[in-house]
Amino acid sequence: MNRFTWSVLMAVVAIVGSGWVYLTRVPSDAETVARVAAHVDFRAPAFTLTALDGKSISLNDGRGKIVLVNFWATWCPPCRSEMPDIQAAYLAHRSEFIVLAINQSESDEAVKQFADEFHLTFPLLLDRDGAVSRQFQVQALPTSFFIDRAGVIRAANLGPMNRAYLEAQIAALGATR
Amino acid sequence: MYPVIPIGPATIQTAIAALIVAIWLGTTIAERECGRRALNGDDAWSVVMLAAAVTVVAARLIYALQNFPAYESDWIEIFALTPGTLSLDAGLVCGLIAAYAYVQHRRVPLARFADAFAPGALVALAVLALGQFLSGDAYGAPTKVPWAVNLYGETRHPVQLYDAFAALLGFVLARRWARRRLTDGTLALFAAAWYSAARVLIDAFRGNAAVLPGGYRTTQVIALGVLIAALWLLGKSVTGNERPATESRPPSSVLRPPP
Repeated sequence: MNRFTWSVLMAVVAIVGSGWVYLTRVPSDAETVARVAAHVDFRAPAFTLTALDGKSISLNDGRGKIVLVNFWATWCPPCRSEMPDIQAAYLAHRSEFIVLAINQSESDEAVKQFADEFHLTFPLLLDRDGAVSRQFQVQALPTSFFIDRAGVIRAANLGPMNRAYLEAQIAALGATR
Repeated sequence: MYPVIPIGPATIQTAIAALIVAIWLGTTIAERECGRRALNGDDAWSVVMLAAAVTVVAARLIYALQNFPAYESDWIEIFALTPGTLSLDAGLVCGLIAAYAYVQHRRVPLARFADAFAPGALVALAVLALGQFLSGDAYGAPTKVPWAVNLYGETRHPVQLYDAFAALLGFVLARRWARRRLTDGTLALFAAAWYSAARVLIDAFRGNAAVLPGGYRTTQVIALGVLIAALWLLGKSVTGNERPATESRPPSSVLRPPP
């Protein structure tokens, strides 16, 4: 192939490629967060559960605040390891940060004992039939979702979180220190 | 959607499993290609392991710098085994710089070494795309095509499969082309051009693309730039206007046919 033919080929690729990139732009009026799904950049599925103290708590109660939805169980070692950090982050940002820790199908007694052991003061919700876990497609514990003030999932994490990760996510969602 | 893969009583994140398989498979192929090109196959493993280590360490340090207040109270958490606290893009740049420094230090012919990595890199990219398909990451835009997959409440383009198919097709073509007598670097440039062209085309169907001002999809813009640059460099060898690097290239008799 001679140089001229190659140059023409390159020009064609550049023009067609640029045209394709232009034509397939994301429209400015596209509704970026329309659907509900348990995934980053989607609206979080709504739920209402009973807390350990008998109160009924809904995800929508946290609208306007940063919400951490954390799925856990007492028998799960990584869940145990991250709980003190979650509690510390909750205490540090409680005016604008809510933790909804959803226990998977364990007895009230086991959950209460766990709360006492780790001195947890945020709501511990009881997902007795596992419906909310299924709604969030939880396949391993712990699983956490960070939800912004508008109810959109902005980060998801499988496995234990540490204080630095929690602080970074909370800061990313606009918390003041 | 399978974000985790159960292994006995434990689980591993699909993305991490795919990354491990991709690195292993890609480097194994590169090692064999090194053997065919009179290069030391051990260098393939060394450079990948070095790049991986530097990527992880740099990714953590950069994450800590970006989120300095989060580490202020307890800096020891810099050493925590938390995959979420990594700035992988920036770390990868550092990993590539380390790989380049290794190649220079060991006086490995860069262009020929890149050729040895080209087919394996395409396979690795295909494996990563399959991992994304399983985990539900990098998902496609809503569509009604007959082969759409149901994900996040809508039927969507299986863009990860398009991506994997394009990478595997590129691998097949690269392997065929590798049998010809080529100037050093040609195969690597072909792989870069092929995959970039695929991303320009395929990313139009992605559902969660990062966008630049004006709605331009970031990956498409970068891929188009890489495509044009790769074609320009490729043109130098294809049009025969560049003197072939015969001095640094082994004679054709050294090249063994692919197994």
